[in-house]
Amino acid sequence: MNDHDANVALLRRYEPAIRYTRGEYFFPMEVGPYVQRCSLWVQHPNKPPLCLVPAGKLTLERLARPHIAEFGSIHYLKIAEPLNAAKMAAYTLRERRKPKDPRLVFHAGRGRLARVGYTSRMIDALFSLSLLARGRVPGDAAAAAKLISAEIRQEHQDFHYYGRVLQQDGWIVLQYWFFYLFNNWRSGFFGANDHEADWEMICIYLYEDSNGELTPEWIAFASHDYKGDDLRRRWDDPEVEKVGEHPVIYTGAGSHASYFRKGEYLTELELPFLRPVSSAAERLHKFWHENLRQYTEQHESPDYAASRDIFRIPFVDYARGDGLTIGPGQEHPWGGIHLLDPTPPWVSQYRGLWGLYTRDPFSGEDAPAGPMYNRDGSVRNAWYDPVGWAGLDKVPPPSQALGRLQTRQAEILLRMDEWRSQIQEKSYELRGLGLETEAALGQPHLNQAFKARQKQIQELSTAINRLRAQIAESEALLQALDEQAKNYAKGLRGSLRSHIHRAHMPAPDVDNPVSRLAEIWAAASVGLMLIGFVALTWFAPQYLLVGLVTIIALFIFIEAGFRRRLTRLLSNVVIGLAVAASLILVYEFFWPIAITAVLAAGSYILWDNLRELWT
Amino acid sequence: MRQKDIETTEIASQAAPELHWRIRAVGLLLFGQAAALVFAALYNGSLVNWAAETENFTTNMTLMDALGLLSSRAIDAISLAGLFLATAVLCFLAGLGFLILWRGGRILAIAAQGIVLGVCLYFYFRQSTSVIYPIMVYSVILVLYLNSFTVQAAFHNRSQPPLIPGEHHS
Repeated sequence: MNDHDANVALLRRYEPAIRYTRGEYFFPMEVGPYVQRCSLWVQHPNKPPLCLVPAGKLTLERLARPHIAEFGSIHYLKIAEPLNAAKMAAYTLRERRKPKDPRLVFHAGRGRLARVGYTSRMIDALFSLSLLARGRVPGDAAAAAKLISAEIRQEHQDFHYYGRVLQQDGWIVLQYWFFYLFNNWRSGFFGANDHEADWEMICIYLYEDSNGELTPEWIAFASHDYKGDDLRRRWDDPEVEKVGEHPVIYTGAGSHASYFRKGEYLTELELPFLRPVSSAAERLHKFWHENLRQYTEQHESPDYAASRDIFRIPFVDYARGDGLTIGPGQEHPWGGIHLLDPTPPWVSQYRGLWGLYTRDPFSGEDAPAGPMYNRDGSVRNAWYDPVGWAGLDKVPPPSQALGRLQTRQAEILLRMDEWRSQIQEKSYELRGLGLETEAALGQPHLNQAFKARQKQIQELSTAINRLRAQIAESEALLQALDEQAKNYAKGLRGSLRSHIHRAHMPAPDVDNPVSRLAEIWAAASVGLMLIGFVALTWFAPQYLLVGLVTIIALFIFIEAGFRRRLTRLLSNVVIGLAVAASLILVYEFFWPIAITAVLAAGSYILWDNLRELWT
Repeated sequence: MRQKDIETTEIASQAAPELHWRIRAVGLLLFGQAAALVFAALYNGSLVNWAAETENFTTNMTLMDALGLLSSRAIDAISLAGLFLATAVLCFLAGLGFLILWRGGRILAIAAQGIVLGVCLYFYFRQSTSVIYPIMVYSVILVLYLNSFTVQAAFHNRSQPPLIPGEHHS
């Protein structure tokens, strides 16, 4: 078997099964038919976009040809020509008349806005409005993309993926790349963005065991902007669902982000300019909870994390796994596998975007670049360092772990020996200096020498103390390594999930799911509130302040009622009143309070010192 | 039994004696507040010269007519007394609730603090009396205590019956 066949066999052996959500329209496909329908464009700075190759003329070979352009230019593909009004109307009518396959019908369920409070909803409303101002994929692009996708699927019905097998730091990495024609997360599933083309990836990390067998140890899924340790799970982690040797991916509807578990994932978008406000709120919360020892909702609300991050916009990524399935043991098998080894020219030579460049400052609506590159043309971290991308660069393969551990122990022992000899030298010197200072004591003409020696003694003492502390720490470390070595020798492995800092978990099922009415209220409240403000300003400006307070209080009361949190609301209102009362008291009695505090501190110190005398 | 219930029960049962004491202490503090409110209402009322206020009263006057003859200070004193006495009753009931470890006691206590603070802030901005300041201090301390983790932890699980020291919910 040659390398190509061996790699294909390896990729086939662990190829994933993908479970989509109902309503998903775009599935992994070959890039050839996509590129064939694309036009190639270049956007030079401060110039209108220029079509380099019209649709129908572009091939993968032509895409790979060098494209010379000035600094700041961006090459991009464009697949979906906006539908004209007639085409759009015809498409909408056809879609409505078409008998609905339950696999194509999506129901949002518990609305994302019902999961968060008013601040997040306000910011979400601003974000939605900002789409009108910033660059975005046109509204009918998703419809056009669906038509093109259906056209391509008539000719190419199989589902494809791209694979790489590479070795790094003792790991054999299987990289699976999936290409989607369109990301319709925003227009199809109320998500954050839409963009033409989508590249997703997962990695499986294998090592060669003592029998020479390749054994999977870790698996990492790309998911939005998450990176590092949080992306990966150990192969034997129960969270990693498998069909035989094939891991199961639950793919986010429209976003195509990959998840280990099925569920609805609350993904929060943090706006950079709100970060200072968010961190100030976090500090205030910490002071309230830790210093004043006040109760928070931490142990009460399942949506606690979401409720605290009030300055973030919530989006739900639906990875329910109740739709079409592809892969081993699923309803559709994988069709072709395309090796990216050696790297084909269309991957390595084309650094542009794989779909429309919208000039969105947040980049969410711009198409991604190919598997090898970032949007700015730099090489993707996951491409050149798949081990480091998943935070695995600090983890040796199990077959090498014991050996590496023993080498480390030897290194530490060596270092300790070195420190000991340094201590010996410094102690020798220190004692000499001690004798010199003792001799100089009481000799006025040796005053300078005495002071210099004292300084040297202090420096040496500090250095020796530091070295001894390092040795003590290393001894403890050696003990820990010893224990670990014994565990390795017994075949025990390290902790399954200790590397995960912030696992991305599906939103929990709540005990009291909000009613449909509450969801409608959540969706409508911000708009209604704004309309109320305008009506008040227009019809009763003389009651503006009272009216504003009344409207806000009324909305908050209704919201708390829907969430069954009236008691919590009452507590919060009372806390607010207590804070206001405290500020008034400080304002009115600042000096008496300050004097009382000083007197109290003085009395305490007095009592404490006198108590020492009496005991 | 849900995980949350188990955790709550563990907290409650492990720290039961101290928790029990703290909850009863809140009850005593609420009794103290009720007494303070009654005292403040009476003291504030005593600062008004009622003889001068009522010298123009006649026997056949209606209540509204009589109120119309009173100075704003006297009306404030009556309003404050009414509100404080009503809240004192609420505080007393809440205090009883805490002593017998009745779950509704906490909500009554919080509502009472809300009313007390609201009344105090209202009269602060009317600048009509200074008896509100000690009441405000007392109430702020009680709010912090009522919202403290230990007191809240015993009450936050609404589905459980009152917590008795050493009792385990299954």
